[in-house]
Amino acid sequence: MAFLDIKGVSKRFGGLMALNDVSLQVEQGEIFGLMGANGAGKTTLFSVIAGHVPPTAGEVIFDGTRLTGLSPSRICRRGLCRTFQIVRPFAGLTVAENLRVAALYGSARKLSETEIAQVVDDALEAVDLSDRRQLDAAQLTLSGQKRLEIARALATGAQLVMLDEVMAGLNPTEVSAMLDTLGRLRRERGLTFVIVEHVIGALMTLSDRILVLDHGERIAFGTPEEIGNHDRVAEVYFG
Amino acid sequence: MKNVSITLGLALAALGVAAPFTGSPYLMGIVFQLAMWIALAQSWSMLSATTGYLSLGHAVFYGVGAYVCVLLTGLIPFEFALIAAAAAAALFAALVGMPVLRVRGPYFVILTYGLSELVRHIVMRIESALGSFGRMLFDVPPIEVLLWWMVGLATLATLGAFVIRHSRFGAGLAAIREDEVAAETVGVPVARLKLLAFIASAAIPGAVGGLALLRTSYFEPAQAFDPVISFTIVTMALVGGTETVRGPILGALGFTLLSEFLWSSLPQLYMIVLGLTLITFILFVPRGLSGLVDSIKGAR
Amino acid sequence: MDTLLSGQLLFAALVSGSLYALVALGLNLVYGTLRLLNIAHGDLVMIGAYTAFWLFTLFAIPPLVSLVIAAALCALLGWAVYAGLFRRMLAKPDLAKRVEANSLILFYGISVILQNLAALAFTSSSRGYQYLDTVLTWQGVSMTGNRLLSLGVATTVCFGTLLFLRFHLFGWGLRAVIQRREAAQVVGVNMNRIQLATICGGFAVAGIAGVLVSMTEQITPFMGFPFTIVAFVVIIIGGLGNIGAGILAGFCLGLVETYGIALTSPGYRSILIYGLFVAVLLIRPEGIFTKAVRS
Repeated sequence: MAFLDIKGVSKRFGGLMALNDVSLQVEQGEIFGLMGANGAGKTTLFSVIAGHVPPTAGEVIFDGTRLTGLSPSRICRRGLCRTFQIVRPFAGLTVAENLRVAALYGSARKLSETEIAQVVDDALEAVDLSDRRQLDAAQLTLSGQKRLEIARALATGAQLVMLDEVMAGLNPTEVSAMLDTLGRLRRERGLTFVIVEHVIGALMTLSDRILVLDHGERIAFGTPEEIGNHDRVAEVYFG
Repeated sequence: MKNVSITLGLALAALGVAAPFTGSPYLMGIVFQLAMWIALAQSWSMLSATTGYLSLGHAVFYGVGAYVCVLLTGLIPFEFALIAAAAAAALFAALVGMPVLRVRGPYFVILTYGLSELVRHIVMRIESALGSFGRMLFDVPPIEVLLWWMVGLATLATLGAFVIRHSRFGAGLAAIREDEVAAETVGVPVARLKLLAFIASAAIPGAVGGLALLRTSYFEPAQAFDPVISFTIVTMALVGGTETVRGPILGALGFTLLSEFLWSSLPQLYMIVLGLTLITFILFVPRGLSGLVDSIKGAR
Repeated sequence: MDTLLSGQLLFAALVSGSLYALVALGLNLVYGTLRLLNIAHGDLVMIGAYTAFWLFTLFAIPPLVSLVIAAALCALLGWAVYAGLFRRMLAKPDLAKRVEANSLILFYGISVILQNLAALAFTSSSRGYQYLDTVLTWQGVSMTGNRLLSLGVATTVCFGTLLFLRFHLFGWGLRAVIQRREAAQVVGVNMNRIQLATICGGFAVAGIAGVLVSMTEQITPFMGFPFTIVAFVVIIIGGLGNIGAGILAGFCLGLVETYGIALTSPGYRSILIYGLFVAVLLIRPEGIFTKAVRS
């Protein structure tokens, strides 16, 4: 049984079919890429999985339990957390406080103060923000805030993290640092990632498998190599 | 700074406990008012300072408490009537909280105001349908007893506000204030926490309303639900500063003293000063008196 | 039942409806362009009413002339509020962050100041004057001259404003700001000028409404707040920033209120208005008439 199992999910907004019967399986420990042009339905799919938006049809199973119908906070406590394309830091709190909230509320069981401090330190270290822990989140650069998004998801103790365009707006050096970070997290902690990315090079390097969406429908699926050679993808995506 | 705050708090509490022994009704009256506003402003801060949901309708909890208390006085001992008043206010908050807290930003502010006015008019209607135009209370407890109760409530509210701010609960509320969607995403049960904060912030004002009623021994719905109460609470808390627990105390202290000078002789002038101070502080001193104290100390 | 179908009741509904539409129009203009809810709006009605009262009692200046003076006075106040408070607030990033909730509290402060200044200056006692109160009868409907005048002026100002916004270049700029704030700025609409003009215009309209109210009702320093609430109900039903639907909603509320009270008793007026207010905020703060358009 797959770690994350999405079964025939559809989402309709008024007359617009944002997602049409999308199914996919993510295995534990893999990095799963989602591709597609703007409006292809990637972010909607994230919102459905994370519980922000109820699907019109279909269901989401994670680690053997059904997520559909649960609130985002409960889904997070079950071990699945997302980040936002447009970052949403707790701007008035310090970087460390941002992570502390995630550790306090995101984990499945109640942690002791020592455990929380440990979780916060680990998350800071993972994204290389340890030296900025006392800054207000609002004072971080965009790259810093993107890393804070990831750290906050990590601090919840999530086993599966969905990253929505964490590379967008970063310069090449920062992108390559981010690639290193994600690869290390997978290796060292056995985390599973689902990533949406516009930086195609990064997506190809990082992902084990890639699913391509177009207008809410699944049009291709395979290894990065297969996707690169896929006719329909080339047509839709690379023009 | 912490020591200064604790000293201030203890000094005020001691003043409250000791005031009756002076035998001065005037002093007891002032201390009663001061304790009342501290209790109200601290309770308000449990919701509004923590989550940023600014309530402009806390008079409704005060009024509900007063109403319940007037209905129960004579039937049960006043201590129980006060507890019932607090419970009724909390229950009212629990009932309306779910829908009301879905409304955000400026809409929440005017909604709380409108809700308070709606309840005021309903109670006025009920009372006039019952043929009652104000109810007198007899055999109310002496001022000393009421004062101790009020000082107790002010202490309880201050401790409550302190505990909330420094707890897991408070961390969740702060996350809600900063970004509700992000808070929910990292596991904060937003709706439940907001509701709990709303209930916590309603209970003590209910008991305060009951006590204030026993003090005046006269109930009139237009006064018990007077929107000026809500406005005064907001002004005291914002002028005092919402970032610290001592803020509402400083605000209450300042305006209670001011009202002693102005309210009896020139109530309108007092209200004008209240409005002007509020505007000045929002524009120029957003961190309030409390922040002002910090920056003065910092500058030294 | 007969009274319900009479023209008398319909006339009363139109008079109050036109007034509500007018009061709400001013509030809506300010909200549409500044995105700020002016909780002191009703107090401008109060200022307009006192202006007309004093000009009439002291100098025998008829309300029709006072209309212009009250409008100018309130517009001046609008300028003071905008230049003195809001430009300052919008310029500070930490204040602009929570500008909506802050501005509501700020406007409430202004409201308290205006009410108590009026109470200090004019005392709290209610006042009134007689003007055009002869009764005219037409088709069995009795109307006083002042009510007819009020209906006429309110309707003219409402529809005049609507036409102005539709056909004058300024109106186009204004509607652009209401609908697409950022885009309007990009295409060169002078935001500052539009915002200033609208706040002055919105305040002036409230002043005019106040003059009309003073002709038919007793006035007090604290008469304003119910008008604010009514105006909120109207623009929330009509859709915030939607000027035309707001005017329609004003007339609707006049009908609902007049017939609602006729069916129950005047004692329920406040409960009805506040009940509607709470209900519309709980159901749809963005507006009811605009539901179809937005989605």
